[in-house]
Amino acid sequence: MRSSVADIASGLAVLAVAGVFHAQSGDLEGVSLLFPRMLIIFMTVGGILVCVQGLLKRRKGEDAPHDEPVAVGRVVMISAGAIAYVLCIPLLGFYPASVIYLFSMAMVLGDAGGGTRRKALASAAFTVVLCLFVWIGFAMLLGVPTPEGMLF
Amino acid sequence: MKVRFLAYAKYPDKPINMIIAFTAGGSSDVQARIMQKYWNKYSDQQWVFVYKPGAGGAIGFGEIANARPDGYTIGGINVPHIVLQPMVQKAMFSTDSFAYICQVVNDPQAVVVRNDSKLKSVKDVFEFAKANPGKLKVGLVGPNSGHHLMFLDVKGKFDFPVTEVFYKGAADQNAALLGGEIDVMFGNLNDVMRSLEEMTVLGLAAEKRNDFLPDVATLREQGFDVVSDIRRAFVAPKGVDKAQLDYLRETFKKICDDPEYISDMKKAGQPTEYMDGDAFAAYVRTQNEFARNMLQKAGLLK
Amino acid sequence: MEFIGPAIGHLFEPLNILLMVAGLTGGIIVGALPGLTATMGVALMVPATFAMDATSGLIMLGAIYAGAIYGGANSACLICTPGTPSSVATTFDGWPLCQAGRADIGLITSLLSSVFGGIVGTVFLLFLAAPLARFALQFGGPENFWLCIFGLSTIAVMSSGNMVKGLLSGAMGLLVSTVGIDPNAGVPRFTFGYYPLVQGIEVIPAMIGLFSFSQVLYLIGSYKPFIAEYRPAPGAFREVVRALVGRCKVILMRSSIIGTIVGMLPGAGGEIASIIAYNESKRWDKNPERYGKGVIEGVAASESANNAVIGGSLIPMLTLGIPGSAVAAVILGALLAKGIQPGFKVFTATGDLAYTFIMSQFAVNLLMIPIGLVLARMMTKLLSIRLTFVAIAIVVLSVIGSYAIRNSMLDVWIVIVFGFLGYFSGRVGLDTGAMALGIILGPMIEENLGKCVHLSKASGGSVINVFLESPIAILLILLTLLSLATPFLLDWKRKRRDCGCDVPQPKEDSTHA
Repeated sequence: MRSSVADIASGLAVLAVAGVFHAQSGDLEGVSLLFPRMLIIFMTVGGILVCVQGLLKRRKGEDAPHDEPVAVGRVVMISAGAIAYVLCIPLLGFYPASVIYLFSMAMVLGDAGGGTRRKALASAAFTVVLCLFVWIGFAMLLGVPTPEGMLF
Repeated sequence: MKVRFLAYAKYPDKPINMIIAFTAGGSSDVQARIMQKYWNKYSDQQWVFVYKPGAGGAIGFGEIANARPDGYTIGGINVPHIVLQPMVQKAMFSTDSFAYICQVVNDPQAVVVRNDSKLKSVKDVFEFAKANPGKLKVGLVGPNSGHHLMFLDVKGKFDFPVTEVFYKGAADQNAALLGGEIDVMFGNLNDVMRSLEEMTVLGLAAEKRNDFLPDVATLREQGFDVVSDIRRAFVAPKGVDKAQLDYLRETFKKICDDPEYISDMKKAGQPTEYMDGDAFAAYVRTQNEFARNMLQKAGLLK
Repeated sequence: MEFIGPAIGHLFEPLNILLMVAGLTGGIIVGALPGLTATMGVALMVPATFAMDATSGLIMLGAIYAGAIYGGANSACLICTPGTPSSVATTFDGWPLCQAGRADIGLITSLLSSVFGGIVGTVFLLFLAAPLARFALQFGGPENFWLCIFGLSTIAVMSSGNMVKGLLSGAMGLLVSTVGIDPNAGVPRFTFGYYPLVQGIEVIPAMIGLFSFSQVLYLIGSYKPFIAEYRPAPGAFREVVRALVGRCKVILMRSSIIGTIVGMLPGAGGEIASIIAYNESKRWDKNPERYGKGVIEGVAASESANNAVIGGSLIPMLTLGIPGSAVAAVILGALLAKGIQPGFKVFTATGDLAYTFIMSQFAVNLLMIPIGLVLARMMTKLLSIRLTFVAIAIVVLSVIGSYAIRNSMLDVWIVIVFGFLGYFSGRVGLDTGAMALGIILGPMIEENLGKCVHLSKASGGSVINVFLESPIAILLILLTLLSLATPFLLDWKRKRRDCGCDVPQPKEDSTHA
């Protein structure tokens, strides 16, 4: 990402957060509103400032791309996977959802090399080891509660 | 119908979830853990503790209210918390959402000063406040709490022009009193007991004197008719089967009558007071009226 | 003092030795796992203490506390994911060290600094508990308010790259922290029509999201097969020891004292102490630019401060019944359940218990060196596991850890949302550290400001009077101003050096990274 784009994006993000909170502050009054309102004003001013900074940078051309390449596909994949996983937990229960998530993510994101068979074996082994670890370490030894599902 | 009847015949036949609306290790948890020790004596099913802290207990109380009323989820509640939260926070329950099992703790509010304070009695406190309007700093846990309610009650009944300061918990409030940020505090006996070495209790806002501090007179004895306390009770969600509720009520009564339980509670600094479910439900109704009146008068209720 | 002899004797009872070793090992592992914090580790073991005598129970809880706070450094160094919120500042320099292939340096520095900090905190607890507890009580509304503002002002040092973005990130954190019940009026705010949000955005899931989950996204998005190369060098231990007793001794001492003081204050814990200590080290360093690039000093500052918090937080807990941190509050609950009343009397009436507990903290810190070394060596094996597997495992651990805090799926969603927020922020140059600081300090700032406003009624109606009545608050105001001026001072210093007015700095400092 070019640094001017980063500036503009961060400015817009700050403005968006300030805007959402401003829209929500409808029925608040007095002391409850004072502190958030000050922050919203500060963020609005600052957000605009950063955006302008970014635009100026672009015009002046002092704009250098500054970061390493990103595997966008993989990031999207694990994000979508994580959301699906958390959505499934109340439905399936923690352990079944985790097994599915761990195995499918390991399959999808696992590095190439070896056949599908080898990959599946490695993924399955990983899933079993981690689930056992969580179950023995957390549920048995520490008594950490895990979310229950409707089905299990 | 028949299957259901059979299932109830040997209630409870599996562990019962006990919802605690505060953090593990807190005062409510400690009390329930002591209780559990004796529950195991009278029942062969265990309790499974489920902690649902947040929003001053409102999250956990809501969990209990909205749990399936199959007798396998019960929990601890506090008054006036369950009375105030539906009024000021739009909480997910009301006082009608529960089937009350019994009350186990009655923790009276105390008027407390530092040991080196010039104020030696409750009367001194009121006289100093009147003579120096706004100068006396009174610490409360709150806002919209049992302490706040007592403060409003006092202000309604007497001329008490003071500066009130709110703290988010008893620990902060104790620290502020000891550090001299406030001159007087309204605090719960159970919390005051932790720092008793440094503080003097001038009076208790209770009907009668307390076993923990038999020498401390009640506010009433000192001429100020104020009673305020925090009660801890156990409840099931409303709609729980009558037979199950009876079983719970009986078992809890057995625990509360157990002398060893009483001595354990005393050691942990918890002021016990048993009250049966029906009487407690009636008490909650009167508190509801009282709190609504207070808040409306103070303009805190829209 | 007549209790110290027998107290040391108690420590050699086999059961107590076993509990210390087990508590430490368990604590370090719990601390190292992203998602499980020291508070939770201790809280989960409280029921187990009901079956022991009070002394043994306390020894075990203390060992878990110390282990977990140190343990957080392991994941901070190895995967840039603070295992407990207290080790956020450890990631700043620990992770660059790991990326440079020198995870061993980071881990050994964390271990030895933790031990040092822990011992300093305990020394204060042993010898100065009573006067320090009195001092901690001086911190009321105005003092705490300015302490928080001072904490916030460190953002200016932290984000010397782009101060406006740093401040905006801090403001965003503060704004997010206002979700929930307003501390001053007691009414719900910003719940977006979703009732469970009245409980507010809990700091820990937000931090897990900002640091752990966003780090997963970052790792997955990088084309690397492993997290980092690992090139352990023989003699790393000696190298670290030489650095710590040599050029880091002032930093270690200063950070440990900061940790002890912040630990004593109710409400402020390890997460603030480590950040303040880190920034103070950076501020007073001859060339602060090298911080954040993998210097031993940064890791030492953060880790010694957060372990010194332990001793500090126990001071008001034992002497006044007022816990100095969330973990101390849990330990207090365990004490009360045993029928032990805290107070200055605790050192006489129940002196045997109190001194055994304090001496056990020394023993625990010394035992931590061998146990920590063995565990750290095992944990570096993580670097030889394929990155994909590590990343997916962190997601599962974050989910279970955040759920366990208060058994709420809301916290799991907070992790996911803040994970995206943190990842996005990292890409566009917003500062997640500043954001986390805002989330931690926000409620404290608002609450204490509310107190000041209430108190002002008794001081002639002006909040300014409330501030000026307190010498500590005035001192903190001055420190804040100094802190805000730091970036400009640094700039000026750099310019002076660049134009050759100053003696050129030797370059060797930047090579050890």
